Amino acid sequence: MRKIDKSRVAENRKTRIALRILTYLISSLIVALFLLAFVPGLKYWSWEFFTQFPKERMTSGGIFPAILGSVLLTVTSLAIAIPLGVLLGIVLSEYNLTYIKFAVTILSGIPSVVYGLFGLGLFCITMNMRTSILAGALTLSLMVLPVISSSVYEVMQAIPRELREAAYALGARKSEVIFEMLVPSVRNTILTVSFVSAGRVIGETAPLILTAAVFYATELPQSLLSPVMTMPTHIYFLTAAYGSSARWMAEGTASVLILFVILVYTIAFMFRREKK
Amino acid sequence: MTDEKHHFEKEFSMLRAELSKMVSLVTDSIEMASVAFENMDRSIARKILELDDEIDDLNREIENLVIDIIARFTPLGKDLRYTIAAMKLANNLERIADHACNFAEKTLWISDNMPEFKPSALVKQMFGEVINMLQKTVLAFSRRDVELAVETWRMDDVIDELDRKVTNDVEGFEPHTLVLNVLFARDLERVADHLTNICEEIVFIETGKELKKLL
Amino acid sequence: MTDTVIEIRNFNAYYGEKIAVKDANLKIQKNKITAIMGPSGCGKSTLLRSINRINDLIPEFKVQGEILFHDKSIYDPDVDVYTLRRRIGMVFQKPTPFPMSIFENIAYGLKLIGVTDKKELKERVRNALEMAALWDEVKDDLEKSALKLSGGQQQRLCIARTIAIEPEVILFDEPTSALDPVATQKIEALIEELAEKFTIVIVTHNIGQASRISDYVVFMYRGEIIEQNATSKLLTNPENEITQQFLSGKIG
Repeated sequence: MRKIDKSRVAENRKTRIALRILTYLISSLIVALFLLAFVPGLKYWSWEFFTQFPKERMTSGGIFPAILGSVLLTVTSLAIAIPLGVLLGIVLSEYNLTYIKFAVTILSGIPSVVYGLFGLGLFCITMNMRTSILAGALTLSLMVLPVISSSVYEVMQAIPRELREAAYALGARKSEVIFEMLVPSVRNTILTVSFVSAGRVIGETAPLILTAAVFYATELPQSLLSPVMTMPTHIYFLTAAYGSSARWMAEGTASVLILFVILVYTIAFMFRREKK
Repeated sequence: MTDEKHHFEKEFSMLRAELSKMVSLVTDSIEMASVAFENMDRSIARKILELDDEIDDLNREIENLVIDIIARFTPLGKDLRYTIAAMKLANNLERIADHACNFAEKTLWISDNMPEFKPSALVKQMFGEVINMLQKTVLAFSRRDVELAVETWRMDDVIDELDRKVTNDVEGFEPHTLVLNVLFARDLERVADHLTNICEEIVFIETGKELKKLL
Repeated sequence: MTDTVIEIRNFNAYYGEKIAVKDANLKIQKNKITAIMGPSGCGKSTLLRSINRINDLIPEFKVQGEILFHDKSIYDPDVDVYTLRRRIGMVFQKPTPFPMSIFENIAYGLKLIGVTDKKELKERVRNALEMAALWDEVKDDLEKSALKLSGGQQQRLCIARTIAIEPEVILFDEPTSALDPVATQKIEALIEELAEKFTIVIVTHNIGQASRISDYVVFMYRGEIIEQNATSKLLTNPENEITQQFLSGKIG
């Protein structure tokens, strides 16, 4: 009969209570921040807010072009970044390229505004794209590429060597092993990381100010070479250019932005759950 | 490497020890039977009969040990041959001991009922040869000496020859005493047969082949 | 008269400078179970894995000598190694189900050989699962993830996956080392049945397994083939002293 060490049981209880309090504290903090940012803007939500252009010097109307711009930019950047990022991740995992691996790690540490500057120089000026969705999308996809690539790399590396051997033992070629066995089995990770990247991209401000966003667009974007408004840049411009008169719109935009981010991350989380 | 104990070394040692013990007891029995025959010694005859129980017990113990080793350890190759041969050895030894008992019982009966009995010199000689064969067999077994086993195996011929002679050695014997001598001779010949069996087992353990095929 | 499907002649295998298999000579007979046994590190897995050239995947691996499959050297430049691996299948020590459904696992190999017709796929998947004695246990839920099966079932799945593409030879690399005794027994029974259709080579460090299911047994020690013979002969009357020591449990 083992004697129950009362002092250790008591200590255990104390630790558990302390941890519980800490958890509640931090969760409340997060919820509070969220509420502070999200709730004030809710009262401005209306049909007009979502469907109309801003009017009368940002004192009425809506943010439709910014919403559209954010969506277009996000979709375009991911359309570039996801295939490239996944491919890069696969190649790095299955072939031995130490220098490129190193370069990718460095890339993931560069601040977003520096990417913006780079994008401005290369895409907007040198390649003459000017302020456009394309320039913005390319810049953002560069930013998000290392993240996607690393996730895919990690999850591919995690697949045990024996599974590759088993595929080869059935007579598969390297490409067949990669694309018909390895990649399908990391499908969920690819989806998760795609949506997480989307969440990141939607909120980017600095690079877009330099490459894609204008503070007021008179018409909807005609092509990929058109400039756009986006939600985060709109918040910036409203506050910088208009101050308190446009504060209502900034708060409203912030709420919409947070809504999108929550949606995207929720979808990402769902895929994570289903992972086998 | 030689000091490493593999998992059934202990049981094998026990088996070897029991066999050795049985061998020495059976050797004693036959040697005592020879002396009892020559002198019609009743007390020695009784000792032989007492010893037989112990020999039977050993036989049974060895059998059980062999079954245990096979079930638990699945010995292979030489280990397997040794294990199975050990059981056959024990059986053969047990039968030799039975013959010794026969000799003892006959000795007792003769000393009770036939005071005029004369032990045949040829039978005495046969006892000598059989004991010699027995001792050589024991040596071949402990040394695992295949050549010695084959040599000893051939000694059976000598004993067969003597057995034939005893039947014809009529001079100076009354029929009823002759008959008893013949019976002793016959039993001794059977003991020799068992000894040849043992020699064959020794060869089989060491080489995995039949002795007769090696000749 | 038995016929030789695979012949290994004066075969040496190296990992870089280190020699793993020394001068191996061996013939594998059709529709028989040949076991290669020996202590850990004796080179038996290396030898087995050379037969389907899966060792080609290891960068410093080198060979000398020949392995003939139906009298043709498998290292000939005009040999398509992918076809070779379809004719000589392999089941590994650790069960390796792909992270897909049970059906997809088996369909993987079939798709590789060009089977696209859905009906044919279904039929061949079913046949493979039946032959691997797994059909009854999974027939109601083929879409279930293969990772949810038990260890023994996973291994049978791997066997089904291999036999679905109808190889001639199946190589087993210690297939039951990672399994419990009941699963082991089922797989051994399965392998014995499979020998009717396929030629089997199985690597094992378990003497009992070799003795239970093999027709021929090859004993390897420190990279060399020490002795090979019909199983009952080698187990009751080995000719080499090292073999006897292995059988007695004194080495390995």
